[in-house]
Order: sequence, then C-alpha cells, then structure tokens
Amino acid sequence: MEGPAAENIILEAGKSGELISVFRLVEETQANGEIKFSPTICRDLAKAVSCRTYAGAVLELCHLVHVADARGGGGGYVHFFWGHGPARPAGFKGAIRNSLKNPTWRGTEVTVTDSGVDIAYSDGGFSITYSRMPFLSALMEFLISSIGFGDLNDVFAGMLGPGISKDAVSRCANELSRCVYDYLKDHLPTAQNMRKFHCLIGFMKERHGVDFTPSAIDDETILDFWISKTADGPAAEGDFKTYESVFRAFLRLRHALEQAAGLYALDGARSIGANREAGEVDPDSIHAMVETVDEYRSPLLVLQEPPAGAIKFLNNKEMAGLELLMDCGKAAFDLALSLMRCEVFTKKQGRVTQALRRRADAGELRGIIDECALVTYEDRREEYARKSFHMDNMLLASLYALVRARNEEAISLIVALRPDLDLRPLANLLRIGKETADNVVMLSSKSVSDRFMDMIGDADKAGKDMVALVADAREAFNGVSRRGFSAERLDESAVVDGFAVGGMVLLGVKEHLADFLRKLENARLPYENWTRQFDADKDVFTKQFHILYEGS
Amino acid sequence: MTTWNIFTSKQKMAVELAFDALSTMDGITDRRDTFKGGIQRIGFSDLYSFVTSSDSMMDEKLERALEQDGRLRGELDRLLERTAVYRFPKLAAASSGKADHRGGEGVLIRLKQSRAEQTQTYVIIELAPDFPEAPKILFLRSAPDRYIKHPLPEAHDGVIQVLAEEDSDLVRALRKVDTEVSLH
Repeated sequence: MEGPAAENIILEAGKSGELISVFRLVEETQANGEIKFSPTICRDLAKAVSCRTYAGAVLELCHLVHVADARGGGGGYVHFFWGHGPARPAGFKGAIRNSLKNPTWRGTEVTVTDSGVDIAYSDGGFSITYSRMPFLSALMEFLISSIGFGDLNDVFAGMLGPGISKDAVSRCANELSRCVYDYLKDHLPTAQNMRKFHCLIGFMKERHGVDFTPSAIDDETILDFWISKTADGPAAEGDFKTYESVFRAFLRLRHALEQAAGLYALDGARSIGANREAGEVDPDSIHAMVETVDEYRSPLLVLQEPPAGAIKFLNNKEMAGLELLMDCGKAAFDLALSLMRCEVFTKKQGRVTQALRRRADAGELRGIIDECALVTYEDRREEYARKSFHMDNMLLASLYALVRARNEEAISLIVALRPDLDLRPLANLLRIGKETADNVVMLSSKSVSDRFMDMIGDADKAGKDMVALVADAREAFNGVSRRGFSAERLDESAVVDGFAVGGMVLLGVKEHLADFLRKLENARLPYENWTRQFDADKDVFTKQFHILYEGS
Repeated sequence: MTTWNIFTSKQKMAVELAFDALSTMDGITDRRDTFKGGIQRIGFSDLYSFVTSSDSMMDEKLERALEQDGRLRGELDRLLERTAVYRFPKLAAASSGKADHRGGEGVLIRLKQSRAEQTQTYVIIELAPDFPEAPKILFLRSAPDRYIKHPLPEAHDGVIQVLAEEDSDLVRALRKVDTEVSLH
C-alpha cells in the first residue's frame, strides 16, 4: 500500500498534532536537568484546556506576571518564570523573597506572606499562593509555546511597570483569554469529538432504543460497533479505525452519561446551559465531571512526584501497564472483556500501522496481521496478578520503612494489609484516658501510636502475628533494590514522607487491581473461559484487520 | 437507572461536553508513538537556556530550527532584547564597510590585532564604573538566521578581554557594520 491511502488508514481523526506537540513540549520541559512540571500539574493543565476553564487561571497568571516583572531582575517576568529551576512552590517563594531588596521597578505594593503574595493596587487587592505558582508557570509555558512569546509579550506590555491598576490587569487577562480561545478554536478537536459523539449515540439508539442506560454500553456493543465501522476496509472513516479508539470513545461516553445521571439525581444541572457558544454553559460544571472521572488516574501521577516520587514503587513499564485500567475506573469491572481485548489486540494494531508507515510489503503485513496478539488473555491476567503481587511486596516493604521511622501511617498500612490481624493483645496496653468501651483501641491518638510503635516488635505485647508481619516487612524491604529502598536512607524525612504518602496511594491502586482480578476470575464470558475466549477473539480481530488493512 | 430519553436537554448537553473534554484529554495526553504530533519543537525553555546560560551553546538542532523557523527567530530576538544587559546601537556604514569598535553608554568594544601573533585579535570590552552589571555572554546576530554566542571571562578593572583568531566567526561578525551586538 502506498501514499495517501496508507496515511488515510493510519491517521486518526480528532487528534491535533499541533496541540499534542505543545503539550509534549510542556511535559518534557526541563529546568536544571530535571523535569520542570510534575505529571499532576501537566494533567491539571490538560483539564483546564480541554474543559476551557482557563480564564480564572489566566487572570491569576496576569497578576503574577505583574508582580514577577518587578521581582524578576533585569529580565523581568522572564527570569522569574524560567530562571528558578523546576516549578515548585519553594522555588517561587525563594525567588520572590530573594528579589525583595532589589526589585526591577517599584510602584505596586506587594506584601510577601508565608503562603504567597498579596498585591495592593490602587483599586483593589489580589492574592496568589505559592502552591498555585507551579500550575501558573505551566500555563505560562503552554501559552508561550502556543500563542508565542511575541504576542504574549505584547499583551503583557499593558500591565507591566508601576502605576498599573487592578482593572488594567483584568483587561489584559481578558485579552489573553481571547487569544487562548482563538488558538484553541483552531486546534481543539471539538468538531471531530462532536461527530464521534453523535455517531455513538446514534448507534446506541439504534441498538438499544432511546431508553438506553450507561450500562447498555457493554463488551458486545463495543466490539460490534468496531466491526461495523471497519467493515468498509481501507476506506473506513478515520474516527474509529483502531479498536482502542472505539473502546476509549465508549468508555468516555459511559463516564459522561454516568456523571450526567448524577447531575440529574441531584437536580443539579441548573448551571448547564444548552448552548455553549451563547455562553449558557458553565465550564466549571464540566470540569467537575471530568475531575471525578479522572480520580482513578491521579494516584499513578502522585506516585511519580514528590514526596512519593522519591521511592520507585513502580517502574515506567509497570506504570504504563496500569494506565488503561486506572483510566477506566469502576467501568473496568463492567467492561473487563473489552479492556482485555484492548490490552491484547491493540498493540498489534499499532504494529500494523507502523508497518504501513514504513511501507512494508504485502507479505510482511499479512504476517503481522495473522499473528495479531503478542500475548493471550491468560498471559495478560497473569501479568496483572504479578503486578498485584509486586504491589503487595512494595506495601510490605513500605510498612517496614514506616515502622522503622515510627511513622503513624504504619498503623493504617497494617490494618489495610492484615485486616484480620488480632489486635487484642495490644488493646489493654494501649488504652489511655477514660474508657468508654472495653474493646476500643484508639489508634488515632498520637500517644497511642507512639506506644504502638514501642511494642510492635515485642511478641509478648504485640502478639506473634504482629511480630511475624514486621519480620516479613523487613525481609520484603531488604529484598528490594530500587530507588528509596535503602536502610541507610530511612533517616531522611523526604524518604519517609515518600513511603507514607506513596504507600497509601499504592494501596488504593492495588485495591483497584485486586477488584479487577476478582472480576476477571468470575467474569461471565461469551465463551466458557478466557482461553476459549481468546481463540474466538483472535479469529475476529485477525479477520477484521485483514479487512481494514488489506481490503478483504 | 436514568435512561437517555429522560435526560433533559441540559443533561444531554452536559454529556456531550464532558465527552468532548474527556476525549480531548485522552488525545492531548496520549504519549504513544502512533499519536505523536510529529514535530519535535524547540521550546522557550531551550531558548532561555541558550540565551542566559554560559554552558548552553548553539547545537545542530537549535541551529537547524532557527534556519527553518521564522517565528522561533523572532522569539529569540525578543528574548535577546528583553534580557540584554546592554544592546549596542546600529553602526553607520563606514567607507570600508568594516568596524573596529562599537561604543555605547558606559561600554566600548574594540578589536585590536595581537602584536605577538598577527592572525589573532583581541576583543576588548571596556565597562564604565557605573555599568549596571558585568556581562557574562556576548551575542552577535550577523544575518537573520545567524547567531553567535560567546561566553565572556570575568572583568578585571572593568575590562573583559577575549583572544580570537582574525578569521573566527566572532571577529568577522564584529567587523561587519550591520551585525547586531548585545551583552547579557
């Protein structure tokens, strides 16, 4: 296959190369040899852009630019945003404090507090916290990479220097928001997304009637839709060529339907207008819906950044292998087969498109398609089980680190890891103050947790099971040779904080995976087991790939 | 269970907008190779580092990007303008078409041939006592897409001295009257 026809097969509609490259630029930006923006900050930025909830942040950014220009030394705001290493609250705090004595210009009254800066204009005040500055810095990076330094600098010119009013800053922010709107109008794939949306809704109505529910989006529906959309072979529309694009589209539709149903239940759709262009839509409501859907994904981001990032709980491959499962949230349990199809067959579909890009000959292409799965469902299930085992081990190792550091989170981990552990031997020894009931163990009290830590290794006091758990934890810790798992570093507070925060986050990820594994174990499949299901699905995918990429 | 047909029009709009936002998020945060935007870009941070850090020199990637991308050149020019300690005014065309010194407020650049080695030339930067701060980098723009960056040694008694070959890019660019010169 050659030329435009091949490209047509590969490219997926709805993806703006320009916008993707700008986001990659922001994500990959380095400062002092480190990644400048944390994954959570980048994800928050993507949400603000996708939900069009950037206006408030643009206003904050303009106020910060106004202050930063005074505090940034000779280069003004440019030095403030780009001259202080990775974007962290402490870095911006230091930059502002250090420049207090030597501002570029004076005029606006700025008070530096422990939490941020208070700006007193002649016509009102504005405050910005240090914790907000990393996000505003990422927004600045996005704006400069999309709109450009020249246009951005022109907008900012109206609000720099002494004697500027709060109103003038607001006017500049409005102008900047208009620039962002114009840029996104050309680069957000809204039209393609709308087309996809109406196509999916049309299919659901046709298949299930107008009274379909979110749960009507099931494994069979998703597969049938993909087969129908790829039936035209190489001439098929670009929106739904890959099975993964179909799975993700239905997943997102299901998420959106569930969220809107929640709005209905609360009768809270008041702020949602029926016309976005007429300004009747409250973007914050959409942002809140997206935020809720995204809750399952965020733990993986938290594990990559301080303080949890100091500990390598999961490597990149392990992390990547969990992303789709976490993106699905609870929908993974209802769409377990679809998710497995996606995990097993779409990687190979990616190889087919790569082969097309390098214009592989027909024989090679056919070979790749015939061997259309790198692993079976059973392999994949075992892989998930191995990850679950690995996470159990990491949690056990984390427990040892926390016990050694006498960190209170050790107690939460013990309860989570061994919910059936008999804590009665400790009960009498831990009672403090007036008793209200004989069986109360007040684990939340700081003094109790201190006593708990004193006794945890003593079999006579804590019981044999507890002592055995701590011994297992020590063994697990000593058996891990990854970043952070070093006895010598357990005195460092950053490392202990990493175990405390990361341990609890990892626990949430592990519980989601454990629930999914149970679902796989008990799944009702069209065929009698996962092995038979794989054989049947392999025939379906092979046939469909031949149709899609070879025409028959 | 809520069904599609009993959703209000506002709810349906909410579903549509949430679907749009979630799909956009998936698209722009997708890191797999097949969905790459294709263009590996030079970011503003790269330009900032190039302009302000003595260690960051012009590499092949930046050079090619500046040759090909007019907007990037514009951004670099703006950044040079914004962060310069001093920008020299343009020189009037000399009869020879060559310059051997450039003067500005509190600063002078002179070119002086080495007596010991005639193929070498001293670039001497003299700073007045009240010059705001000692520059660390000399930037030259000798053509629209031709940038030369030269890290500077420390000033001694207000004088910075660099020894370069007469036919080096640095000296040749400084001799051209239409080269734009700035100190950083």
